[in-house]
Amino acid sequence: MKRAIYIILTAILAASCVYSFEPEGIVSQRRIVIEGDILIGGMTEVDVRSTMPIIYDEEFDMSTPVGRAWIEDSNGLTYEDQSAPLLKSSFTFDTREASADCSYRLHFQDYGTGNEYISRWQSVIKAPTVTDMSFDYDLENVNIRMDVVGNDTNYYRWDYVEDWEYHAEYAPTYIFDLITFRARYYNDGLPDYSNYWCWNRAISKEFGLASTERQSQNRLDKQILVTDSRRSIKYQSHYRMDVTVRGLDKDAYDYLRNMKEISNITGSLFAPSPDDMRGNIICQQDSTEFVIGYISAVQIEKHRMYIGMGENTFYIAPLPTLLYEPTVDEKTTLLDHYNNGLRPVMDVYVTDPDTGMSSTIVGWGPSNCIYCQSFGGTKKRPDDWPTYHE
Amino acid sequence: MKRLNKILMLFTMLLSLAGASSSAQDYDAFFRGQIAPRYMMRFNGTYFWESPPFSQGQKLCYDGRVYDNLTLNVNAHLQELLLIREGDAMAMIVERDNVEWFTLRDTTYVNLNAVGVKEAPKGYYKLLYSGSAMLFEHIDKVILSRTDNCNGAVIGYYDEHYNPNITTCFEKQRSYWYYKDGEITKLKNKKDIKLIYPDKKKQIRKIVNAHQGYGVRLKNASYFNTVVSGIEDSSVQTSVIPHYPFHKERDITRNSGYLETPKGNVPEELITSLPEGWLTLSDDGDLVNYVAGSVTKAIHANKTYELGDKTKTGISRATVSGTVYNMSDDEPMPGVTIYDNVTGQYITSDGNGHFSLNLPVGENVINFSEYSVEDFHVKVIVYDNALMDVEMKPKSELLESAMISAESRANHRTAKMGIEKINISSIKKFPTAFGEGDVLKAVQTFPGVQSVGEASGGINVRGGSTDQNLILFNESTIYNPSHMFGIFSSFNPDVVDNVELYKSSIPAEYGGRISSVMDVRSKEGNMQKFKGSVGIGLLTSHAFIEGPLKKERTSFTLGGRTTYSNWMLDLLPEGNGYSGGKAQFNDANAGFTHKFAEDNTLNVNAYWSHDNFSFAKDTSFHYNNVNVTARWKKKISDETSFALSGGYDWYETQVNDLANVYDAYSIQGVIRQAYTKLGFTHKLNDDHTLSYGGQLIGYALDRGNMDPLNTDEFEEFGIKSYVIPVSLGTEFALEPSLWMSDTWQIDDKLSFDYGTRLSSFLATKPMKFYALPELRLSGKYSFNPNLSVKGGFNTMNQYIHMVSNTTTVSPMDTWKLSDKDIRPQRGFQGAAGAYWSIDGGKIDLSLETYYKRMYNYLDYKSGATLVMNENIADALVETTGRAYGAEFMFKKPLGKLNGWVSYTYSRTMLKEMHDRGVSTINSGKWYPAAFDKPHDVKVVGNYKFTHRYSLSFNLDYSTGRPVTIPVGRYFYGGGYRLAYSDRNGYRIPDYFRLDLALNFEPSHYLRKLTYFSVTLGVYNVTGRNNAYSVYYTTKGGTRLSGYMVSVFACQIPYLNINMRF
Repeated sequence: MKRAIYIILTAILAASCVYSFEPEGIVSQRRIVIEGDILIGGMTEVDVRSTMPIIYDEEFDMSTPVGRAWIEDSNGLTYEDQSAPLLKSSFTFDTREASADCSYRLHFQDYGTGNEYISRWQSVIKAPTVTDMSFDYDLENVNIRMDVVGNDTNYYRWDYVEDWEYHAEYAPTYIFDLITFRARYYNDGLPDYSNYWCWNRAISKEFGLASTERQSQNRLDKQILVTDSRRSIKYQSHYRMDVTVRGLDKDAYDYLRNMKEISNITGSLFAPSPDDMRGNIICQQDSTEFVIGYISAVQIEKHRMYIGMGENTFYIAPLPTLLYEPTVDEKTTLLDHYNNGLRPVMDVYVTDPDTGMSSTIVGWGPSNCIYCQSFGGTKKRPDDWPTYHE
Repeated sequence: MKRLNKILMLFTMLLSLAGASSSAQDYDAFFRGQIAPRYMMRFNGTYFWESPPFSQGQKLCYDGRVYDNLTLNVNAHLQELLLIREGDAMAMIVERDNVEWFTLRDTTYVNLNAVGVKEAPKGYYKLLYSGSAMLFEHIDKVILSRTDNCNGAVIGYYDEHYNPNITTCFEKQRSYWYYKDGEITKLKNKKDIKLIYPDKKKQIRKIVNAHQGYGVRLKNASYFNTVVSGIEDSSVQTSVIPHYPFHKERDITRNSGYLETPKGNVPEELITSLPEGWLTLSDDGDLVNYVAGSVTKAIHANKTYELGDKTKTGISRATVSGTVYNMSDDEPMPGVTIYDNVTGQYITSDGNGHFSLNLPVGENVINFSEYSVEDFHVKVIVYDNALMDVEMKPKSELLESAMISAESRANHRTAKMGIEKINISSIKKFPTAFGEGDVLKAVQTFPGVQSVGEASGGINVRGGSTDQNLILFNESTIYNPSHMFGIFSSFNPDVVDNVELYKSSIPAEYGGRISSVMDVRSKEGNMQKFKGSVGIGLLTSHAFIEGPLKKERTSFTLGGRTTYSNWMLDLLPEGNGYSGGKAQFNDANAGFTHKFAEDNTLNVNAYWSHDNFSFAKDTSFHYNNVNVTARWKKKISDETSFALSGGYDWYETQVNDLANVYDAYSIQGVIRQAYTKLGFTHKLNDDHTLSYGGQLIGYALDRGNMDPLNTDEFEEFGIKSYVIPVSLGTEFALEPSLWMSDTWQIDDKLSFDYGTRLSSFLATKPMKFYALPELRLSGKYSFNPNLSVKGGFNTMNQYIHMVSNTTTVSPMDTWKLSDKDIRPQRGFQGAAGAYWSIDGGKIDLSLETYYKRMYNYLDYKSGATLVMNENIADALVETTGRAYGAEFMFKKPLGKLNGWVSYTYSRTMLKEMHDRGVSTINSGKWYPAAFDKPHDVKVVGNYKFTHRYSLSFNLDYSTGRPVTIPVGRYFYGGGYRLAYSDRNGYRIPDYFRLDLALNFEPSHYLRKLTYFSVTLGVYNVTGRNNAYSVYYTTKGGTRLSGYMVSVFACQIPYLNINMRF
C-alpha cells in the first residue's frame, strides 16, 4: 500500500514540471548598460556595455559603446579618466581625494550615437562597519558570515572575493621516465611538491543585498555571505574571504533588488511578474531611452577573514584514491598506461592473501591525484598569502 | 408501519367518500396528447387485450380520482390503456403512471406499478381474485412471424377473418401473479401454488378435486383462482374496486390537493388518525375544509387543478403562489422559469423555490421549466387567491449531466443577459484535475470566464481582474475562493446547491465590484429525512449530512472536507524535492433552516476554512475564512415579500518567513466585514415588479501587521529576530447603498429591466466620502418565441482593491480600501446579444458582444514593493481599461449527447492614466492585461450510454496569456542579468487540454438505502505540457536558461467514489 502511494504521489508530483523553453518570435532589444559606483576614497571604475541578444541573432548590434566619461561633483569639479586610449568603454577615475561632503554624478558621451548619459546627483553614503566575520557548519554545509553595523543608511550591498590554498592528493615520489618507459624515483625518493600546492580564487557572481529597515537595530548579525559544501576543496587547507560592503540609498537598493529578483525568477505560482525598473541614468537626447544601471556615490568597507589549517576540521575529504600496479603484458606496456592518464605515485606495501607474504610495488594512480591544477586554480601563490609552499 | 397504515386508511376512506363520481366529460384531466399508434403492417389477431371493440361505460381511477362512463380498451402489446373521447374517432393513450385501476367488461384491471408494487413488470393486470391475497392475470401481446396456422390458441381467440397468407400475428402470452403481504410472485405452473402454500397441500388437493371431475380439468386461471379463493377467506371478486393493500406512499402532510375534497360526515377513525389541524369540521361534524391552508399540490401535468374558493365571486384576478419542489428529494427549487400562457407573465422562483403569479380568474396554463427536471405544464382554474405547490420530476435522461440552466426559454423571456446558472449535479460531472467537483472550474467552462492558469485561484470575467468579481456564498463575501493554491475551490460540492454568475446584467441589489457577481447558494437541509454523502478522492475526502430537527419546520446541514496531502507528502523519501513542502486545507459548512410558515423562513449559514502550505521549509503561507450569515425571508402579502439578511465575514492571511533567524518575520492581514441588507420585491401589476432595498457594509481592514518570528529552537541560544513589530493600521469604512429596479413586461415581445443603485463609501482617517450612482438597464425584443435580441448597459463601482504583482490570488496579496489617495474603481459595460432556439428548443444558439471600460484600476509600478508598504499609494498607478469581445455559443441541452460549444474572442487592454514620464508603464501606451486571452474555445459535453454509464468530456483551448519576458541580457554586479520587454509584451504558448471522465452509478434506484457513484477520469488526456508561466534565469551568474513551468504536464488519472445515503 505504501509503495502504491509512493507511485501515485510521484506520478502526481512529477506532473508539475519545469521544462526547458526557447520561445519564438522574441526580438532582442539593445540597451546601454552603465555599471560602477563612484567610490569616495578609492579608485572608481565604470564600465559601459550594451545588452546582448537573448538568443544569438546575426543582425543584433553587439558592439560595445565607446566614448568619454567623467564624474562631476557638486562643486563643479570634474574627474576625468586619465588613461589612453580615447575610445574606450571601461573607465577608471581617481576619486581617492574626493570629498564625502559633495554630491556626484557620472557623465558618459557615446561617440557612436552622440548621446550623452547622465546619472542623477548622488550624495555620498558612508560605509558601514564590518565588525566581525565568522564561519559555522552543520553536517553538510559551511556558512561564512559577517556582522555589520550600519552608519547612515539601512540598505547594504556586499561583494566578496574568495581565495583558497589546496593541494593534490599525493606528492609523488616517482616519475615516469619517458626514455626508459619505466617508473623511477624522483629525486632519490623524496616527494615531488611541484604540482602539489595550488591556489584558486572566486569572485562573487551575485552581489548581496540586505535591509535593516524593519529591524530594531541597524545591524546585520551573522549575515550569511556564502554557504558551501563541507566537501568543497576550498576548505581543504587554507581559505580567505575579502568582503566589500557599501551602503545604498533606498532607490538604489530597490533597483538592485529588482535586478536580482527578475534575473533569478522562479516562475512559481506566486512569483511576481518580472518588470524592469528605471535606474538613475537618463539619456539627455532621448529621455524615453531605457538605460540600465544605477550610479551611487559611496564609501566602502573591506574586511578579510582567514580560515587556517588548524581550523578546517570541518572539511570532509574524499576517500583516498587507491593505488595499484598496472598490468603489463604483451599487449599493454607502462607507456600505454601513462598515455591513458596513469602516473606512478609511490611505493605501496601489499600482502598476498594466499601466502601472507608482504611485498612492495610501485603504486600508480590517475594523474589528477598528483596534479593540484586538475581542480582548477593556479600554481601562482597570491602575494599576500599567509602561508608559504613551493 | 403506523404511518403506512394511516395512509392506506386515509386513501381507502377518502376514495369511498369521493364517491367515484367525476364526470366522464372531463377528459382533459388525463389527456396526454398521444394518439394511439397504428401498426403499419398486416397482421392476424389483435394487439388488444381480448378483442378489438372498445367497452363503453367503464370506470377509471386516474390520479386518485374515479371517472365513470368511459370508453376504454387495452393495448396489450404496448401495455397502454386507450380511451376514446366522446365524439372522437381516434383513441388516445391514457398516461399509465397515473392510472391506478380501471374496469373493462366487468373486470377490474390494476396498474400494479402505480399502486406501489414496483417489482411487478410494467403494465396492467387483470384482477382474478381479491381477498387477503390477490391474484392477477397479465397478458402480453408479442409480434410473431409464423407460417403455421396461428388462429385460435396462438392469437388468443378464434378469428373468423383470419388470413393464412399473412405470416405476422400478435401472440397472446399469459402470466399469473400472486400478491400477498407486500410480495408479488409469478406463478409459472400449477405446482407453484403449492410452493406458496407449502403446508396446505392436502387442502389444495381437496379444493381442486372438488372442482374437477372426470374429464373436467381446471385451466390455469381457474385452477389458481379456485385454489387461492379456497384457501383464502372469501369468494372470488373480479368486478369490485380493489381495496389497495399495497404500500403506496403518499405525502399526505403537504399533498392535500391530490384528492377531491371529501364531502359529508367524516368518520371518527379518520379524524383521530390524521395530524392535528388537517381537517376543518363544522359543528355538526361535516367537513368544511380538509387541509389547513388548502395548499394544492400540482404533480401531474395533464390534470386540471381548481384553485381557491369556487364560491368566490366579484373578483377578476387572483394570486397563485407556492413553492416548487424537486420530486426526487423534496428540495425547493430556485431558479425555475415560470411562464403563464394567458397573461404572458414570466418569473423565476426565488432562492427558496417560492413563486407568486397574479392570474385572471378562470382557466390558465402555467409552465414550469428548469434544466434538471422535465418541463411541467399545468392547467389551473383559478377562482380565488390560492396556494399551489408544484413537484417536478427529474429528467429521465441524463439531464443532470453537463448542462446549464439558462435554458432557451429564459433567453427569450427575460431582458436579463450574460447570466449563467449551474447546479451542483452538473458541476460534479465536470472532469477536474483530481476528480472532485469544483465550482470555479465548472464556471470557467462558460464563455467569457477565464483564469490565468491551471492552478490559479480566482476567475477573470469579461476582462475583469480577479478582485473585480463579487463572490458570494450565501451572501457572505469570499475573498479567496480557492484552496491549495487554486487546485480546489473553496466551495464544498456536497454543500453547494446552485451557482449563478452575472457577467453583464448585474441586478441592482448587487454592487461593490465592477466586473461580475457569482452567487453561490448552499443547500437547505432536508425537512423530511436524514440524508448524507461521503466521498473519497485522491487528495481529499468529504462528508455531508442533512436532516430535519423538526419535521417540516427545522432542518440542518453539516459538511466538511479535508486533505491528506500533508501526511502523504511526509511519506515521500527525502530528496524528493517535495518532502519539505506542506499543503493542507480543511473547511466546514453548517446550515440551519427554520420555517415559521410556508412563506416565512429563516436561514443561518456558517463557513470556515483553513489553508496552510509551504514550498520551502522556511516560508509558509496560511489563510482562513470565516463567514456567518443569517437570512430571514417573509412574504408580507400576495404582492410583497422581503428578505432581511446580515452577517460577518473574516478573511485572514499570514506569511511566515524563517529564512534568516535575525530577520525572521510574520506578516498578517485581515479583512473584517459586517453587513446587513434589506430587500423588498413588490409586484405592482402584471407588467411591473419592483425590487428595492438597502445595504450597509462595514469594513475593518488590517492592511498588514509585521511581527518578529522567534522559534523555541533559536531562543534557547538567545537568538532573536531583530524585526520591529510594524502595523500599517486598520482602515475603517462604511459602504451604504440603496437600490431600486423594475421589471417591465410590456408584452410578450418587449420587456425591460431597469434600475439604479446609489452606491456610496465613507472612508475614515482621513475622512473621505464618495457617492456614485449606478445604472442598470437591459431590454429584450422577441421577433418570435424562438428568436430574440437584447441589449444592456450598466455602471458599477468598487471600493475595495486587491493589490498584487502576482498572476494569481495568493496570501501575499494586499487588500486596500479606497481613501483620499486611492479612488474607487469605476466601470461600465454595454452588451448586446441575439438568441435563437431551433428545433423546438433542442438547440440554442447565442451571440453576445460587449464593450467595457474601467477607470482607476490599480496596477503597480515597476519593481514596486507591495507587501507591508506604508505608502502603498506611491507604489501603485491608476490605469484605465477597455475590454471588448464576442461570445458565441452552440448549446444542445437535451438528449443522450448534450453539452455546448463556445467560442469567445475578447481583448482586455490597460493604460496608465497619468503620465509619469519615463517611468510610465509601457510609455503610456495600451498594454494587454495579464489575463488577456483573445481566442477561447470550449467544448463541454456528456454522452449517456445507459442510465448507469456516461462519459463526460471537456475541451479547452485558449491563446496563451501575456507575459513579460527577457529581450536581452547583460553583465552587471558579477553576473548576467536580464533586460525585460514592455509589460506583458509577449505571450506564453497556447493552452489546450482535453479531459475525459467515465461516470458509473452502480445503484441507480432512488429507493435504495445507499447510492454509490464512481467516477474514473483522466485530466489532460493528451498530456500536453501547457505552460503556466515561462521564465529565464541566470543561474550561477553566467548561464542563461529559459524554462516553462507546467502545472499538470501529463495525464492525471483519478478515481472518485461517492456514497449518498
